[in-house]
Amino acid sequence: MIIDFHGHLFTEWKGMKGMSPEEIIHDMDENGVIRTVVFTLNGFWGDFRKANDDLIKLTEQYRDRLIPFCTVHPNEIDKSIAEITRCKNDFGIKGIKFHPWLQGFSVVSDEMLMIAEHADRLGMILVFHDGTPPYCEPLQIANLAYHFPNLKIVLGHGGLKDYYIESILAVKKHKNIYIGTNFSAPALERLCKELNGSRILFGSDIGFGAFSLKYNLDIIHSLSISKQQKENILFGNSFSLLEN
Amino acid sequence: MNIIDFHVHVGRGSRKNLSTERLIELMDKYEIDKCVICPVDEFINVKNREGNDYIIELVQKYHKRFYGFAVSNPWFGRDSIDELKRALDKGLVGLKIHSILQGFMLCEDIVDPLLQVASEYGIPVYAHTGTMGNALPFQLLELAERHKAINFIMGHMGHSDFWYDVIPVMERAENIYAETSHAGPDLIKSLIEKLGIDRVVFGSDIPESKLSVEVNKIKLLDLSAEQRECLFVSNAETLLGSRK
Repeated sequence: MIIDFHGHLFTEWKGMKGMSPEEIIHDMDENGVIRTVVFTLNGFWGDFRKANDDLIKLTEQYRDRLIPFCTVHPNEIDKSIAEITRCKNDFGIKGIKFHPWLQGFSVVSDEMLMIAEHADRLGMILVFHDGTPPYCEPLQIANLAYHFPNLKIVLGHGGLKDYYIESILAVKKHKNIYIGTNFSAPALERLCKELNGSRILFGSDIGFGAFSLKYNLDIIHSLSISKQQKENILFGNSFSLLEN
Repeated sequence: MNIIDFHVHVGRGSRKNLSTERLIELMDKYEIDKCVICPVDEFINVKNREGNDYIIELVQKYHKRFYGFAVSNPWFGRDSIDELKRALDKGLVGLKIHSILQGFMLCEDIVDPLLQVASEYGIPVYAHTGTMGNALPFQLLELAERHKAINFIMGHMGHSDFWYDVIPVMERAENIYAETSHAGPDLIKSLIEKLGIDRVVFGSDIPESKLSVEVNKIKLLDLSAEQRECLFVSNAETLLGSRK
């Protein structure tokens, strides 16, 4: 059994057609994935409330398989606070996805701290695109974990290729940071050793193309780690995070 | 006022060039009493011994005008430790690290043995910060937390893209000082308003900047006489006077 903690569900992005919910579920079935956490793409700019409504509607029939996380824009702080409350209370949304460089804000800004405080109060999970300078380095994101030690924070890409050194320091220092697997296998092995397989969440970034789920699962299967650690990465860690 | 310029590169390298005569002429023109000098270009990354010898010679010759900082690339391993000790024993009073030129990520443990030496000698450590992504303020925070006995100077205040990180980092580590070269006056002003004047030192980074520009922007800040004294003189004296 596998949970995929990182997917994007959208109809169209800059002329590129997204995968439909049915296509994503088909891919999931083929690869033994029981649930996928899905984020918007279009919502990272423009009308985020509409994008959240679209995502909720697209996943409505499949809520046992597709778990929508909402997004908001720190640059519109009042609207964002209201939207987070609405998504949580009206739709039971468990987390919020941010893409700092696409959305054009710094994770250390005052507005982001206000949002993190609100999410902490509501017990929501924050997921970040990370690893890209200048606004979403793992250690910058870890500053939120430092200020809100009970807030669960996911580094969606574990620092991408060049910043896993920061990611490892961040997870070792902050127990409330989780790491998505979307980076290189040797780095993942090193991370796995540091954390004994805990707090690492399989994520495929499904939604952009036909190969991402298979490719990212293949990375996990290539790792020289214990069976138990592999199971935790593919299922147990995400299950606990989503159920708590 | 006996201004101390905390950051000057002197000598002729592949890129930079500033002669001693020209430097002293500039210092006299802008009422700089003393400055902290370190080598340029390839003397920072590979020709460390040659670079240090040049600085040692200048400090001996102009001991009333110059403080010298040593350079030592951590990739030279055991040799880098020996070279740093040699330079410090010959009268240099600090260590300059430049993770971009020297080719490591600022927070990596490769630099720890050199910092151990710095700690034993009680000397300050100047770190270049800013873009590229391997010389970031939050990476410096990791070093500052690992080596609490060392005073670190955050060179250029993360200029340019990482200006947002300067205050969040400095409020978390008492042993990080900001050096003002290249940073905009508004940022320096807000740093002083937020964290006080005690951990800000004036630096010009000539020949990479103009001494006139660097001095004039501080004058824009409308500081009290006491604050100016701290920023231009006494904070630097405190840092430079810590050697055991």
